[in-house]
Amino acid sequence: MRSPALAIAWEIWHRNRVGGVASLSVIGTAGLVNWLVRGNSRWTGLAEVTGYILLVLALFFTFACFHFTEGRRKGGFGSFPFRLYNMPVATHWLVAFPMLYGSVAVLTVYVAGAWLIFVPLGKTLPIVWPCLYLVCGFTQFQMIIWSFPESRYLKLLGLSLAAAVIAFGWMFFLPHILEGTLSELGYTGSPASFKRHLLIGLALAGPAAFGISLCRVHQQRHGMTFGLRPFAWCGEWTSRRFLSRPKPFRSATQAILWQEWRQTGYILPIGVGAILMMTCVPSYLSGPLTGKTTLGVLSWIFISPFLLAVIIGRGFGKPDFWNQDLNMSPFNAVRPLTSGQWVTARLKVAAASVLLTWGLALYVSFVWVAHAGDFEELDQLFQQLKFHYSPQERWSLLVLAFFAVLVLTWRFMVGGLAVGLSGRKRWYQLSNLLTAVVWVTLLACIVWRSDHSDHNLHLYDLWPWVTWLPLVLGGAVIAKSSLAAWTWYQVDQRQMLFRQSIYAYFGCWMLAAGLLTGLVVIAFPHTAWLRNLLVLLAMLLVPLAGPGMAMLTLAKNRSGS
Amino acid sequence: MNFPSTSSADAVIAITGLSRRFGSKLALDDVSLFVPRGSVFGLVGENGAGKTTLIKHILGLLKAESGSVRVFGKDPVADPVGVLSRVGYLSEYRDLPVWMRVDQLLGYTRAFYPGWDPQYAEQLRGQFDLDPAARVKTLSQGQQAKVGLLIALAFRPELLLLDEPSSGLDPVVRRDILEAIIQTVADEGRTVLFSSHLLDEVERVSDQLAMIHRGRLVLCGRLDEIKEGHRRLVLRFDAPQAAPPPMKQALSVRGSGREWTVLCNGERSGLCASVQQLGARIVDEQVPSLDEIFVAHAGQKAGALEPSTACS
Repeated sequence: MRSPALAIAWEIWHRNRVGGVASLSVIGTAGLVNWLVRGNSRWTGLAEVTGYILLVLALFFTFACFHFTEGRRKGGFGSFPFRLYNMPVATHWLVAFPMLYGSVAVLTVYVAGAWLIFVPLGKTLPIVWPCLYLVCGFTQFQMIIWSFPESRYLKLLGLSLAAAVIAFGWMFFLPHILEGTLSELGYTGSPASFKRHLLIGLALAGPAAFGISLCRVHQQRHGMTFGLRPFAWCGEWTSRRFLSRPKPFRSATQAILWQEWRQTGYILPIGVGAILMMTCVPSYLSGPLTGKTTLGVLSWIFISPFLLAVIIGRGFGKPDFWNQDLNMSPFNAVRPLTSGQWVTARLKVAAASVLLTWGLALYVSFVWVAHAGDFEELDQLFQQLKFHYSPQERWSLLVLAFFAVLVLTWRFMVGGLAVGLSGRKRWYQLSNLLTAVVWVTLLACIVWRSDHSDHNLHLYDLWPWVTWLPLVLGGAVIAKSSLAAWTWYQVDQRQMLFRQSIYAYFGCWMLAAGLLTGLVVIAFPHTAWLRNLLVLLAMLLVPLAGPGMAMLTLAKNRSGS
Repeated sequence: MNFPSTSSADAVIAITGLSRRFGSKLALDDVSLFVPRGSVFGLVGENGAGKTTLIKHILGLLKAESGSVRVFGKDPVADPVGVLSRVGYLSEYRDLPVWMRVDQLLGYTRAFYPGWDPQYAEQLRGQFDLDPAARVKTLSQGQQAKVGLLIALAFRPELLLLDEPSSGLDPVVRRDILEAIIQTVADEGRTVLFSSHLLDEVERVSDQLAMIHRGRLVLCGRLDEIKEGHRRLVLRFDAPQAAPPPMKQALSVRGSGREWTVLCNGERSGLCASVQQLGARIVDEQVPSLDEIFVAHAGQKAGALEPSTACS
C-alpha cells in the first residue's frame, strides 16, 4: 500500500467486496436475462418491473455495504472510525476518501443497472439527476452519522428526516408528478426552472456535506467542544427531570421493561414525529391546500408509521438496537431472567411504542387537518362510506381499523425478533433481504398500478389469476399453527415463561386475529373469495409462533449455541 | 500429571470432560475441574489459553459441546435463573450500559437479585468513591471496573466469577479489587473464581490454582502444594554438555557448558535420582516463583503436555 488513499480504498473494498460483487452480479444476471427476452413483448413488461426492483435493492445493498462507519465501543453504534485519528493523514483526506469511494460505488451500481438492465429493453434511464441524487444521499448520510458521534437520538432524528426527503424527493424529477405537485403547492415558475434549481441544490449538497463532515470530524479529532452543547444540556435536564426513577423497581420484569423502553421505546415515535414535522409544517406554511393534497398528506402521515416500523423493526429484532453485534451482551446475558421474560418485555415495549406513535400521528393529523386541510376529498370519501355501509358498520369499521393499524404496526416491529435474537448474522441478513424484496415489490406494484390507472382493472378481475392462493394461504395457516404448537410446547417445557403468560398471549392472539377478521368481514361483505383470502391473511399476519420462536432462539444465542 | 483426586460432593463448580471447538481451533480440551466451596480459585494461562471460554461455560453463556458443567449442582444453560441469581460476575470487558447513571444502574441491577443488600451497596459506592449522578460513559476505565465490581458484589453472591478483573487498570484500582475479593472470602461460605495474568495477584489471594495451556488443564491444586512440587535446580557437570541434559521431569532448561539451570516438577527423591543418572550434582536448589512456574509450563510445546485429569 503506497498511500493512505490506496489503504483506505483497500480497506473499504476488502470489507465489502462480497456485497459489491453480489450487487454487480445481480445486475449482470438481470441484464443477461433482459438481453435474452428483448423484443418479446410478453416478457418485457415484467422484466422492466423486475429490473426496477433489482436496481433499487442493489442500490440499497451497496449503500449499506459501502458506508464508512464504526462503533467506538465494541460493536457500538457507528461514527467515524476513531482509530484513523492516529494516522498521519490530514483530516480533509480522511473525510474525502470514504465519501468519494462510497459515492463511486453507488454510482457504479446505478450506471451499470441503467445500462445493463434497461438498455436491452430499449429504455433509457436518466443519468445526471439520479447520479447527483445518489451522491447527495450518500454524502448526507455520512455527514449525519459522523456529525453526532455521541448522540444517538440526534443521529436518529437526522436520519429520519433525511430518509423521508430521500425516499420521496426523487418524485420531483418525474415530469408528470412535478407539474401537478408544483401547481398544488402554489409554485408559479416553470417546472424546467424548478428542476434546474433542484439540480443546482443537489450539486451543492455533496460539497456542503463534505464541509460539515470535515468540520465535525476535525472537532472530534482534536477533542474540541460540540457546537450543540445546549441541546445536550436540554437532553440531560429532560432525562433527570422526567426519566429518572427515584423509586426502586418492584421486580426484575419491571426493570427490563424500563431498560428496553429507554433503549428502544422512543425510536418509532421520534422517527414518526420527525416525519410529521417534515410533512405538516411545510404543507401548512405553503398556504391553503386543495382537497387532493390534503388527502395525499394524510395518506403519507398514516403510511409512515408502517414504513418506519418495518425499518426500525429490523433493528428492534436485534438483542441491542444500537449495536451491530447480534450476540446478547454479557451484561444482560448474566442476569437471572429467562429468555421468555426478555422477549415478553420486548413485545410489551413494542406495543407501548406503537400506541404512542399512533396517538401522536392521529393527534397531529387531526390538528393539522383542522388548521390547514381541505375537507372536500375527505367528505367525498365519507360519502362513499355512507353509501356502502350503515352507521353501525361505519363506526365498527373505524374502531376495528384503528385496532388493525395498531396490530399491524406492532407486527412489523416484532416480526424480526426470532431471527434477530438468534445471533446468526447470515439469517439476519437474509431476513432483511427478504423483507426488502417484499416491500420493494409491493411499492413497485403500487407505483405500476398508479402509472396504469387508466387500465380498468378491478379486484374481481384478479380472481382467475389467484385461484391457487387459498390453498397456499390455508397451507400456511396450518403450518403456522403446527409450528406454534411445537414452539410454545418447547417454551413451556423449558420453563421460559409461566403457563398463564402463554395462555394470555394466546388470548391476545385470538383477540387480534378476531379484530382483523371482523374488519375484513364488515369491509367486504359481498366478495366472498376476497373476504376469505383476507381472513386467512389476517390469521397469518398476527404473530403466533414468532414470539415463542424468539424465546427459543434467544436462549440458544445466550448459551452460544 | 496426576492432580488430586476428584471430589464433586462439595464442589460449587463441577466440570467434567469439557471440550469446546471454535471452527478448527480447539479452545477447551477435555477439561475437568472442581472448585470447592469457600475457596479462592485462581485461573491462569496465557492469552487465548481458554480461560474466558471456561468461565463462559460456567455462566451458561456457552453450552458444553461435550462433557458437563454443573454450578451448585445445576446446569447453567438449562436453568439460567437458578444459577445466575447466585453468581456475581465481572469481566475485563466492562460491558455496562453506558447510557445509565450510576444510581440508575444500581437500582436496575438490584431488581434482579432478591438478596441485594442496599447498605452494603452504599458502603461499596462510598468506598469506591463513585458519584451516583455520573453517567457510566463518563467514568474512567478504573471507575467502570469499580461499578462492575459493585454490582457483582452487592447481592452477596455465593460464587464470584472474575474474568481478568484488573486487566488494564492502575495499581490503586487493582488493590481495591483485591481487597473486595478478600472481603468476599471473609464472608463465610463464599467462593471466588478469578482469572488473571498478574500472578502476584493470584499468589496474594488464591488458595487454589489451575493453569490452562492451549485449552488443556496442565496444572491444578493447592497453591502451596504447587509451589512445593516445583524446584529450580542448578546442576553442575564434570564435563561441558553440548545439549541440554535430558531430564524427564524438566519443564525448562537453561544454561551451557558445565552449568545448567533446570526448572522441574516432581518429588525431591525422584529429582535427585534423575540428576545422579545424568552424572551431575545439584549445586543450588530453590522454590521457584509462580511466574517462573507459569512461564515454564506455558513454554512447553503442545506435544509435551500431559493430558489433564480431574482437578479439585
